[in-house]
Amino acid sequence: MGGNMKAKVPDIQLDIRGAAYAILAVVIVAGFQAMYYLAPGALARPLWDGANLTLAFLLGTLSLAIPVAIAWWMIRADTADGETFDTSQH
Amino acid sequence: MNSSPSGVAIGLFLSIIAVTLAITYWAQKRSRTAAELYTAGGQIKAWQNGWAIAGDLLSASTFLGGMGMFFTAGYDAVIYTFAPLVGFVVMLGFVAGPMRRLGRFTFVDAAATRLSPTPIRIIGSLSALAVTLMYLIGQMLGVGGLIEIMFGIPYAAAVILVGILMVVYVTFGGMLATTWVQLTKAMLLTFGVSLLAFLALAQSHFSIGELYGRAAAIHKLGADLFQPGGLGLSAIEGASLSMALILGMPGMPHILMRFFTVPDAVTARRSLAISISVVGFVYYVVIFILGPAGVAYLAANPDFTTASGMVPGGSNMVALHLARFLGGDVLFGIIAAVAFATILAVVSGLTVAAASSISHDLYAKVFVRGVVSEKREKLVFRLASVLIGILGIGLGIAFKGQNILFLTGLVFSIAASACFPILVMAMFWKRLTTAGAVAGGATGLGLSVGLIVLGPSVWVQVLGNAAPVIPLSQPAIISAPAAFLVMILVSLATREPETAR
Repeated sequence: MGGNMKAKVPDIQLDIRGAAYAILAVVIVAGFQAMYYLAPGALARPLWDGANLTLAFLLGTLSLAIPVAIAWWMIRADTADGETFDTSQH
Repeated sequence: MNSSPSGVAIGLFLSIIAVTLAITYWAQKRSRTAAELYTAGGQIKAWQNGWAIAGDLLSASTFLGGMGMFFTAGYDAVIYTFAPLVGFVVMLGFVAGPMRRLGRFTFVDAAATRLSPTPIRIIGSLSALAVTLMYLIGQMLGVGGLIEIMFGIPYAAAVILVGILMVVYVTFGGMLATTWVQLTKAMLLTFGVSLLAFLALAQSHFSIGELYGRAAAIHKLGADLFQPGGLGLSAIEGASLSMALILGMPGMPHILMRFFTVPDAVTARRSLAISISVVGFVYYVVIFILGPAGVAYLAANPDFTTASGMVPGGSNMVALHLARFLGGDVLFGIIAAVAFATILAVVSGLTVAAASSISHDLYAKVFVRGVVSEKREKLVFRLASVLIGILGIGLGIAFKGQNILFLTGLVFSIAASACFPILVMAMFWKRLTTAGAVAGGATGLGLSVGLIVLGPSVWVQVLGNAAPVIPLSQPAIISAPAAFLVMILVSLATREPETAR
């Protein structure tokens, strides 16, 4: 999560891995939103012949599911790293 | 449509008030110190904080405004769901852990750690107040319309009632009462939307395709109801809105404050992951099931629409009318009570954040330079809560008629342009100077507010002018990068006094 939790003064560093995952989430939804303007016809395509559900439905669903999955992936290995209640009270 | 109050609705409405006041009474005995009042003593568990954060975010804008926006503009309402959710991930990756370690009561504590505290606290707290007050307006609009349609009570009286209740919760119960009101409401809301979705899908033989087909056959947009474009946003406006929602989420003072209610950074991050899951589920149900159901079952139903084709009470009331269609007065009463609890919880969280900015950042740390007894700081917090309540009531009445979800977009623009840049640069860029932070924060705050006032939402819709001075409804694409740029340039041109390090 970045930072030395045993330091007596605040020692905060950017969590490179967490930041990378956050940027990945931004890129994914930016790509989805770019399709609004670059390929609106593709979004209107039915998922199968005669279906009322379109690619916009599928991608919209994924745009909500992917951030949830990334969030749980980001915290999967979280440990306290020596953090105590006192060190978290900087 | 018959909108006379039902016994169920009145009973549940009064029950919500009774339960929340009981929570406040219980919490009041456990809110003796300043830390207990501001942050519930930092002893909230991950699951509790996760649900409470969800309760903070799942506002009237999400539930009432989201369905209302789908009813009028269709699929474009989805922007208001995926962008905040990604904003949550940004918050998790950049902000949650460090915030918990650096701060004590407010996000400004964290921002002020490495810099000269007084100017940072002034600009930070002004930004926080701008965000929370604007957000409060949206919630007041929702509750005014809701109680008006439930009981026939005039809009202004309803806003005043809610203003009084939120002041009571915060003044006596502090953050502990707010936390339990929020998590209870988040669970009620999740149950409520799940029940509505089940009943809505049952009407369409549990086929989303059939539901979508019925909605498209009725709505004026036809099949385009499920395609982007209903809001008529240009590519620039769409990008600006998404930027506001993504960068604004990690800058929302009332949500950032929740990280101080848990014991450590790991718990803060875990609670955020829980809240992302809850919020993602509710967003999905509201936009992808209930939004289309509102169109399919109400849009061409003469019992639920006026001559203009809109539901009584305006688009923000689609959720309530859908509940009455699906389950009669009983379900109407349940969903109205859930919506009422939703608004009460969110306004309480906003009031805690705003009052903390005044009592902790401005009064205790700036005006009296830390020389203040805990008793006096708590008194100022309570007086500030009353002041925020009065302001919320006045502004809620003045802004009557604006779309709730649209107002929320504006709030996120301010948070993205003022709060987030100050916070993230202060934590991670060691070259940042106090002058740079203040100049950048002031630029973000001034530009976002100024562009909103000169844009179509205020200049035309509120002030009644024929055309906007700036034809941009969402200013974040200008104001957020400008804030970062000014912060960097001024920091590179100035040096931090040694005493501030």
